[in-house]
Amino acid sequence: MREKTENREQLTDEDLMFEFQNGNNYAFDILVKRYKDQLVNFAYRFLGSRIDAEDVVQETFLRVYKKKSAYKKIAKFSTWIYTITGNLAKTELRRRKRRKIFSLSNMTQDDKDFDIPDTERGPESTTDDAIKEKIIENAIKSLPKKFKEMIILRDIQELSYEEISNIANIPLGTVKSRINRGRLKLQEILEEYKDELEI
Amino acid sequence: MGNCDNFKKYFSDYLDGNLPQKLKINIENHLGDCTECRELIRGLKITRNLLNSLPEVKASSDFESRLRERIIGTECSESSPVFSFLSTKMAVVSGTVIVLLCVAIGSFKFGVFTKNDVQPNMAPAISNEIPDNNLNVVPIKKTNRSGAQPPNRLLTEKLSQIDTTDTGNGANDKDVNQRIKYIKGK
Repeated sequence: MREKTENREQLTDEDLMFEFQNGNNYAFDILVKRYKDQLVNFAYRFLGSRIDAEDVVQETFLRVYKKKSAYKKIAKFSTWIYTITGNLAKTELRRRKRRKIFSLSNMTQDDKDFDIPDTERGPESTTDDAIKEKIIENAIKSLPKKFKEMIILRDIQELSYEEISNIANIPLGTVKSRINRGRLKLQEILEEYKDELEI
Repeated sequence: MGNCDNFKKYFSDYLDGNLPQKLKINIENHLGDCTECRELIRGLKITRNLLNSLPEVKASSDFESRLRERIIGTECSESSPVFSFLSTKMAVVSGTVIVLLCVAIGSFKFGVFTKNDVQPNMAPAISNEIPDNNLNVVPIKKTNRSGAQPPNRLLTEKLSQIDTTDTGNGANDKDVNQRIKYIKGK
């Protein structure tokens, strides 16, 4: 039994999905274990809130569970699941915009502003690393949406250009161009914080 | 400067090692001559390293158990015939129908019993029994159309009271009018 479990854990994502489609719910559990952290990280970089990120990823897995028959093996599983998460994260962003959530950055003209500290992080948020992290997060947040998604997928999630092209459903050339422009823009923003970032 | 703009669009690929050999050599030659572009490449490297250094935000420890609960909750609501029948729209429609039925039944009952509530001692219009003076129920005889007097004096008095009620005299006027309105409303 243990050997069978270990063998299953060595299966590819696509094979696990196939098993799940054929009624093996344990295969689904393995997929959840494999992807939950990276998807939460991805959604968090988009939304800036861990609670919202976990909600989005829970909803992602719920959809995978309910609509398992919608997955076709010709596509990479990672592409499929990242697409669902990305779309849900974007939907949440649009929903926030409609609710017109108030943020400190609306009050000040100064670019050097900080969002309300994320209390989920705990007391370590006062350390230098946490401050640097916050600066980078804010810089990513301030990017135009089309660049932000590319930067997160490439430089944080470390996906290949081809995979990003499939997830975002845009040509490879456009992916490269947006990553390039996104990095240049980000560099421009971070230049203002070079003292704090020690660069 | 024109050259700089041409090379800039390849800087990300250059950093990622995705350029064909010939283009890579061209860029390196340019970087050798252009301080501005060298600074730009240096800045891009630092930016990319900063992004790579961000700690991974992980799912909380109860993530999987919460997910399991959500899945079970979804399966229960989808498999139960009651819940699957009572979708939101159906629930609203069903509720409305039930309310209307209750109102209709209540109105019907109200219309029948109103007269009795006001005059508890009077026989109901549809009943064929009346109480005598000792409150014993006595069956009544129907009068003929010409209104011929029945032989029994007590019975006569009771009948006249019923007649009074039916023609709407005295205190029963309001109740009868209400009944008429209800009947007309039908």
